[in-house]
Amino acid sequence: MVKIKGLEALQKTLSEAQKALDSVNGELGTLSFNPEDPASIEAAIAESERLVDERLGSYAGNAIVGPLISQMKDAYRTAVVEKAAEARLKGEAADDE
Amino acid sequence: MTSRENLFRRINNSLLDMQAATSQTFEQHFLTFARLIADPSLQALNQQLVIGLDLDQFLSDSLATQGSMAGTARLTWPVDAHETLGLKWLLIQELAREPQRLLSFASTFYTVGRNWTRELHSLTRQLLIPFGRDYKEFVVSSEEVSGETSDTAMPDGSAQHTAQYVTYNISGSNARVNNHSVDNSVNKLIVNQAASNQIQVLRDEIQRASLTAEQKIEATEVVDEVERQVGSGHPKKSVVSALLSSLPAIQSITTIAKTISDLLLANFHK
Repeated sequence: MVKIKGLEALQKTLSEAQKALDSVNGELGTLSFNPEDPASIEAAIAESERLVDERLGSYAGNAIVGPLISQMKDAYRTAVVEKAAEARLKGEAADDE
Repeated sequence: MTSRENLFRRINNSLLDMQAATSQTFEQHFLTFARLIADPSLQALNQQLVIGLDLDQFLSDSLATQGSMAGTARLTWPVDAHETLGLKWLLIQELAREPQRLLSFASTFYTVGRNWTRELHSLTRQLLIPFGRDYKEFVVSSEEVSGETSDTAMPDGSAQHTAQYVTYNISGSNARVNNHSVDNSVNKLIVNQAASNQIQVLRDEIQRASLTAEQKIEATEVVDEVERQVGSGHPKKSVVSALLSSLPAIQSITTIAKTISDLLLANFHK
């Protein structure tokens, strides 16, 4: 009987990825930050990274999940920085009124 | 706004700009930051800060910690906090003189992988932002001791008004892998984003509408709850419908509410 080792490994990778991605569906957590303070913004970004690592860190070696971890962290970083910029603009507009 | 307060606000802004920059745009903001912390009004304090410090020796000692693997180099900061602050100031000025070294410096001492933007963000997080915070404290405390006029306003503007904190609920990617199955699903993340945009439009419309302050507060609370439902990733049809129908019966508001309702109800569980 021929044993296809590559296929087994692929199935294991897919099965792990399924479990990992199920664990990050829905809400991951809440970040709170002062949009005027770079240190507060960085702390929020660091917290988002911690939340991702908490759920997916143990799957970092998985060929599917590994790259997704970096992508998620980048996406949350960008989102936090954009939310902060948006809040600063609103604050400036309110000050002008 | 005093000149000192204005200076710190600009320093703060340059840090915010570096946080949002990519490897292609970082240099400009870094040079602004370096120039601001070398402002002529700070010259005497800066001279006092760096007296007796040897940046070349510090960099040479730090580079000597580099092992055979990338990411092993460590900056050998002195124990004394004042000396550390002075060395950071010298280092920033040195990199500003030769900004082409920024990327290699970041990838040597603030390694996070093969991504220049991430390494510059790491440099910003671990070197520049803490420096900005400590440097401001140094200047403020030094000027208070010397009796000079020192504005105690924080660069984040906290002395002027209470900071408005942003609360941001983050949700998963909704990415999925299917093993032994066929994926007939709809990408709810896109729907969520569209609904979130409409919720913001709804909030703006409520503020513009001819409602009493109390009615606006009540309507905003309803929108908060709708947003929570959307953020949960599993909004309930009955709850969302009831919430949206309880909003003030003004045409612009009901039109936006209907758009949100249609978006969610077409894509989520009943």
